[in-house]
Amino acid sequence: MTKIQFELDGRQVEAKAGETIWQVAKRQGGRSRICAIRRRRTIGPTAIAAPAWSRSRASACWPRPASARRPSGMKVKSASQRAVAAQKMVMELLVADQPARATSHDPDSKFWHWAETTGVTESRFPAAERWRTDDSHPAMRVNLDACIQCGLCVRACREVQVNDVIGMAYRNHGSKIVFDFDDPMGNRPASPAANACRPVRPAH
Amino acid sequence: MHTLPVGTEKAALLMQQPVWNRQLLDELSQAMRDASICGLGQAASNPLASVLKYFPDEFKDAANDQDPVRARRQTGRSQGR
Repeated sequence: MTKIQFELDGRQVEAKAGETIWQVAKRQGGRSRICAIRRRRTIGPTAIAAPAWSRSRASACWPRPASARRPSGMKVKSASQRAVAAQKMVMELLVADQPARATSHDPDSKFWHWAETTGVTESRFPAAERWRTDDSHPAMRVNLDACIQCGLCVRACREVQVNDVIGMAYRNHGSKIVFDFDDPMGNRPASPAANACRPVRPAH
Repeated sequence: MHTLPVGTEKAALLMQQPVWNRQLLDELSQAMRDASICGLGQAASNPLASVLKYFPDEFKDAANDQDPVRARRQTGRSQGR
């Protein structure tokens, strides 16, 4: 099998053909990603995991496959000053819009774990207006005030459960996780039974 | 979550303040250039950087915690160059 040699944070590493940089980094003990679902196709990560390429800007390119077509000598820097600063800033942007941790829906969520790992649990940015929680269903709440629009719930419903009833609607900072045509989730009594979306939510 | 939508929203909120936090805006601009996946996000802070670079006099009252536009009106100074 073809092996590809490249440099990751100053170390020479080896990838199998078709393997992503993130998979190589994880094997080397590197940071994980919020936007990964086990055994599912790899997509562009949240910028929290942004590494930097030599001869290029910091880039959210973790899923780029190591390829035999790429010349040897590729250098990936995941812990450069610029990469770390970008990661911290992205986390700070997210923290700004989260409910206060002490009274949040889940103070021990994956999101707050990543905030601690990144070293950013407070924000200097003003909070923006948030979508209100959908509590129309008696068995499950959709805490949209804590949603970071990572898209994991959409992928879980579409690719794991294969129901495809969750979507990302509207545009830009007004993006919203919706059920069907932005209907209350209570209109779908069977949804909580599927439960593919709930385990993957970073901020609950 | 994507850097462009959240970053531009936060930049707009910061720019609506009567006195701009230039350090924070600079940090945000740099992060958007570095961490945005697309060129739109990488270039979104260009107008902000441009106004700070070419109109520095508009912001020099920030240290005195004054709205520079309001201060100019009060003193009757001309807005032209």
